[in-house]
Amino acid sequence: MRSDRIVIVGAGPAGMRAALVLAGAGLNPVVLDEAPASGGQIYRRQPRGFTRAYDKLYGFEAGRARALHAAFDADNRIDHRSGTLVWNIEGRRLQTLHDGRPETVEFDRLLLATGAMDRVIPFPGWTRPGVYTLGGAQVALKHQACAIGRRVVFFGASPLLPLVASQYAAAGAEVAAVLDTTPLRAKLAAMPGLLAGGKTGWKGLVYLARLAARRIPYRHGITPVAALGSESVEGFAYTDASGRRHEIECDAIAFGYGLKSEWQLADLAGCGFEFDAGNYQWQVVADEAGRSTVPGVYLAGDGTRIGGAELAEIAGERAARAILTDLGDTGQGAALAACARRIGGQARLRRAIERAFPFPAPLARAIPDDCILCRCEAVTAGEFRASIDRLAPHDVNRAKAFSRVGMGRCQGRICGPAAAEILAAARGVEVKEAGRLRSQPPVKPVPVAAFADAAEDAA
Amino acid sequence: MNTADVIVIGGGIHGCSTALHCRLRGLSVVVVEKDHVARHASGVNAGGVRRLNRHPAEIPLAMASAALWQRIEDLVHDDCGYRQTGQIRVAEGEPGLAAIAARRRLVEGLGYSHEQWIGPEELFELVPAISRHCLGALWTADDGHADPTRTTRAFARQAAALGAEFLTPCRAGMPRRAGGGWQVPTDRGTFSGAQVVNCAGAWGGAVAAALGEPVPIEPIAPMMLVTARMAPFVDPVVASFDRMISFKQSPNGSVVIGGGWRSRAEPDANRAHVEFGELHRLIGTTLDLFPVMRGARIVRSWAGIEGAMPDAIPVIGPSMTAPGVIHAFGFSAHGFQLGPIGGAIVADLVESGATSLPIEPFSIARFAGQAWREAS
Amino acid sequence: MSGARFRRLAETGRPRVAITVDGAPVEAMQGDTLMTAILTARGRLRVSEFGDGPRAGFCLMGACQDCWVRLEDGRRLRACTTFAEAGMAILTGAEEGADAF
Repeated sequence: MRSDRIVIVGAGPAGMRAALVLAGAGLNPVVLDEAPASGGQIYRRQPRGFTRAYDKLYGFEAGRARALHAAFDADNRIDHRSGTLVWNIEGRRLQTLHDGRPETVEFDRLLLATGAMDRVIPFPGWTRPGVYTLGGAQVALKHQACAIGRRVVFFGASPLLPLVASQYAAAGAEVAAVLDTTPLRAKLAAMPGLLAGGKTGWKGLVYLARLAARRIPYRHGITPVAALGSESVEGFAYTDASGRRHEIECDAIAFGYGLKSEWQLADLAGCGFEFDAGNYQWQVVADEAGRSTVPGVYLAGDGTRIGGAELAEIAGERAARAILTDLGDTGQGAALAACARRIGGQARLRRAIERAFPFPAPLARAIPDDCILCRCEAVTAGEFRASIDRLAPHDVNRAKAFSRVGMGRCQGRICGPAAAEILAAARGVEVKEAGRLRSQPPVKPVPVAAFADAAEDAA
Repeated sequence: MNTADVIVIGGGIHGCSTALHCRLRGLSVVVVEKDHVARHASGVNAGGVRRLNRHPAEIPLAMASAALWQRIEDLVHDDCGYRQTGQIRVAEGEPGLAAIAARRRLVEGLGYSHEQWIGPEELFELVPAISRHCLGALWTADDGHADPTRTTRAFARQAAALGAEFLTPCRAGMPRRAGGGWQVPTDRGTFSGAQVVNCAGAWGGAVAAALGEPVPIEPIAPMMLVTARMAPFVDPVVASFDRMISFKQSPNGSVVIGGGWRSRAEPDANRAHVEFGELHRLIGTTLDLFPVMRGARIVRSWAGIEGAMPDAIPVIGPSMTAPGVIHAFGFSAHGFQLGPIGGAIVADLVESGATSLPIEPFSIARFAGQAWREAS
Repeated sequence: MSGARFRRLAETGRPRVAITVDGAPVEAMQGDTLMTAILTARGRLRVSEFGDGPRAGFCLMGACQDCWVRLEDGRRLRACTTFAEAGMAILTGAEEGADAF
């Protein structure tokens, strides 16, 4: 058992906690992560030389972030290889670029803790300089101590919406408005579940209160119209719940509609997928302990099920204990059951958050024809619809072959959800009937030069 | 019971071309395709429309197919993205030069003149971006490339417009004799017809085996790498006599790199895996030939399942054991250019039992009994 | 060319790092990503190769691949995940050239 090579991909809360549990059992897990430092997106660290304190960076999560960072940094049984992009899985081998050099890493057991990114719906003007995802706006602040502009509009439907807006306000940025696409009615209906969910549920209210204290308008039930301007953002147009059009002057916009799992590596590993109605997206199939459908491949965190940092950490522990169990350790039962209880205890809250920030699918289906859908290759929604009308693809992979939507550098990470809605609308079916974009290696672009240097070294 | 004159198994380019040519001759056709048209090798190949460096037995067919490519738009009402950019195969060293000399003797001996020698100066003029270590090349000026998915679908669309019936997705079972003709069980009922055409690609061997004539076909998955868009820097498709590579810049600017690098095919699971184990060698060759590629980024890769024969030429012609069955499979990763003529040949065989093109070398008889093992 | 896009809110006491953007000197700070270094001085990172105008990144977490910038030495780097280093010479235009994209 001790000789099993255990590799974890991702050094966010799920991967870090899993590594700590495995190390605590006397194993030496390898942790591969693309970033220069551990933490993932949520606990992302600022670069060396920055001086802001933990509570400035992580707010309510400061204690949890500090504890996880400290424990991870202190554990020399963990082989943390930062700056490592895993771009392919072939059997029991991971192909990576480590500091730009190709390396192969072999494993016996693999834990994928690959996290999530913002889910977006294109709107007119969204490719203009000044429009960013909510997560991106947060990274600018947390990692670089920058705001994405002087005067920022935040919109969408995401737990990140009130959070990032209030972080911007607290850091001294001007927040022009916070505009939620969720109708107030739906938000209120989700309230009891949020409030019954303990601290996490209450935090959302605190952010709202902080925004209110600064007299920052928070509107519900809006519909985005366009990012205004020519060379860069000069304003944001939207219609309110009653259909009246408004324009706000701003030079930056941050938006998003919840999070979307980064599951490309699980796909290359051959894992099974299912459409999760609650999260309204394709998720990797995992059993009650985080085992995928592929023997030896385990899953944890937002890359598997969108649930946030706290749940990710528990899921990381759970997957680590599942690995230990599968290695023959019979003493993990109680701890596994405890993980399951803690995860189960958050189920109602998760459901309430999903209801409080629902994905506005009709918005995706109604993207105007002249709006760019695929920002990699500037394919418009109209061009995509025309290819659907002409060639009648039955799923998103065929639609991709016909239209190039999803074929660009991002492999459909950005345009995928909206493209699936448009296809589903054209076919008159539920979005899950439009299928799921197959992942292709490399899961992120790899520079040819990296392989050239390796070839020269080998020669 | 559903009936048709011809039941085609497989909706790749040869199946779709067969359907079109049969309809052009007034025969009723049903195409049975387990996935969708152009799902595997016909949709995911490099799109080379190439006569250059073909097996001698394939040259007459490739020449006849080239004539059809010239008027592809008349044939299928779509230009198929066909561009006559030329194809070039360079020599990078003495072995390559020797291979070119031998190739020229062979081709000229057969009376063909489509493959021309070009020296370094002409090569660098045609392909300014190519590395100056190249010593010369064979060049076929009016070869080129096309969009494989679009082409295969265009054949299907035109065949359907003329009345061919396409069953997709629909699995075909093994053909069985019924009276003087054949029955093919499918997911959508049993079809009966006078003749059956096996265009099942990598799965064609299973059909042949069921008819009592097994062949040593190997499922392969040729692999392609695709880069992010680059400003145009090369027109012709470029290959090498010294190393495995094919190199093409698409009209949209992305560069497609392949050349026979194989990854793992799982025909039973209907999957092809991309494997990068030896990727650095292909990249090394790429950079040697095109230094400009140092700034490129690989953004995608793909592999499609294809059937390869041990002698690298397809099986085309009537079954030896099952009268009324015609094979056209195992194109060994270079059947795309032959697509337009392949269907015409099969339609000839369906109609009259004979064709004017020399297809004897492709007979399935070459694998009968011990004949193949002894010959090899 | 529009003005600066990003606005520094804190951490401004870091050592300076000299780079150039389109040939003009720009003072970045140690720990800046290329994206921050460029966008605290300029309004864009690059111009879309598909003719639909300037771009300035989108996701900032290495997923969207919309912030790859070109250096004068031919390198291409993802601006949101690469730290600025002294001497880097960045080009934000879409000048023609084999690796312009």
